[in-house]
Amino acid sequence: MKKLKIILNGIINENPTFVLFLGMCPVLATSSSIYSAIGMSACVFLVLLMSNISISLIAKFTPSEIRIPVYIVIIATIVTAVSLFVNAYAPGIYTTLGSYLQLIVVNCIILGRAESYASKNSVVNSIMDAIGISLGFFFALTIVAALREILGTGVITMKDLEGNVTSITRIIPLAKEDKVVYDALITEFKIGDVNSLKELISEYSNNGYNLSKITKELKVITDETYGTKEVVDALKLAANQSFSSPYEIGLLAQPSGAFLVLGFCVAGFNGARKAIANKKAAKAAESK
Amino acid sequence: MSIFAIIIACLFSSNIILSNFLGICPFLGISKKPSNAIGMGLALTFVVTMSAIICFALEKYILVPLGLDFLQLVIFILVIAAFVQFVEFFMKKYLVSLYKALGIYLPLITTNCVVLFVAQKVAAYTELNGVITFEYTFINMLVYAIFTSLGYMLVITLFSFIRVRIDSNKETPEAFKGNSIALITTSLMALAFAAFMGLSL
Repeated sequence: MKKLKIILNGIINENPTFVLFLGMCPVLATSSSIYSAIGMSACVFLVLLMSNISISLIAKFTPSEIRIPVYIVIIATIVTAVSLFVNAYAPGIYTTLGSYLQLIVVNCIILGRAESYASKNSVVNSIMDAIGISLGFFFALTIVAALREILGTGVITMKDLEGNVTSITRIIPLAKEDKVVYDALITEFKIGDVNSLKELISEYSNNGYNLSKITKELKVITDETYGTKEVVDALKLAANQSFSSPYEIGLLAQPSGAFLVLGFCVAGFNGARKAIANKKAAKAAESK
Repeated sequence: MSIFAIIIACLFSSNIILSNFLGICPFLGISKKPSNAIGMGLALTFVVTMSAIICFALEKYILVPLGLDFLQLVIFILVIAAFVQFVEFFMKKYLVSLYKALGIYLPLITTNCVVLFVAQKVAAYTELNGVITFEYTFINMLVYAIFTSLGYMLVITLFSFIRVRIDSNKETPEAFKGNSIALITTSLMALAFAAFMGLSL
């Protein structure tokens, strides 16, 4: 029960992003898609778990004057190991995160938890704390990323560990006339006749649709590979990029959108947290 | 890359805070007073420039020739931490007035991601058939490091002037007070700075 409370504490009362304002840089930088948000949270979880375990083990023998350099070297070693591991087994995530993967070293969540929790508590509690804090980070980052990806681009794009697109789901509907064109193109992709597809695309291009991306993709495709799942996915991606719904807010996918969405999420989370606390206090006063 | 293009990119179009999202924690923490923001910016400019020179030299003449590139992260972070500590001792002894002005911002810089990001970026190289080419020459590296931190200082100083007004504004809704409204204001600032992205240099 007490262990569960430590985890819950990390998600709500000490949520690293919304309440403690630690490690804001990766939340802003890797929230452009849900895929990168999940990858970043997984990496932060691995690093935080290992650093909390090792620091709670060695904290007793470390002289307090040199503890910060010792912690930083431990964290840097763990991050190096994790980034080599991710590069080997999940290259898609490695390329999506770019330099932000290595910058976990200077992420204040890791050093903050090492200093304020792991160095003062037992190994088991530190593991629970790592799980709770990473869940809180995952929760915050995924909310921001989902809002930005869905409202900003209108679609959810999922990839596998290699970085290949596995599914594209459109959430925000297209305008009616665009929807007709989109459906016609997708059906034509699936049937698999290159010539009639090319005709269709040139016909729509003449009518003023910007289908340059699809035409570019088509040039790469030979008759042998045509109709396979990867090709259909690549074309679907191109089609999704060529069309945009009138209801989506492209600004949110831009850098400035990251600040905006995070600002509103922080306000919403803290507003809800305070409202619940006020209700609880009112109830307690009533029962008295 | 021409030097002028690097300067414009670092200051405006790919600003370290507004388009790379680095150094956000000190950005939110220290922008409450303009004088603090300027102090932080100056301290950061000094540390970023010096640590970029040291890390660039280390990578070029020691790590890459010896094939120890996988130790880059550990060595860079140690160099930065040691350098910040050294600067603090040195200033305390010989530059007392500057030390008092910078105060607590110096030790805070160790965990500022800008320093590590710049060090890693200037040390980037490409390997083709065993020939190693570094992306930045010494001069380009120096200009990049100085103007990236000046870009940081520009944004944090401008924002601190806005923030004085935001914090004294009584119309702000309760839930938005503090960092939330600060982030939303930063978003407007990022929008303004994004206008420089159209420049072709």
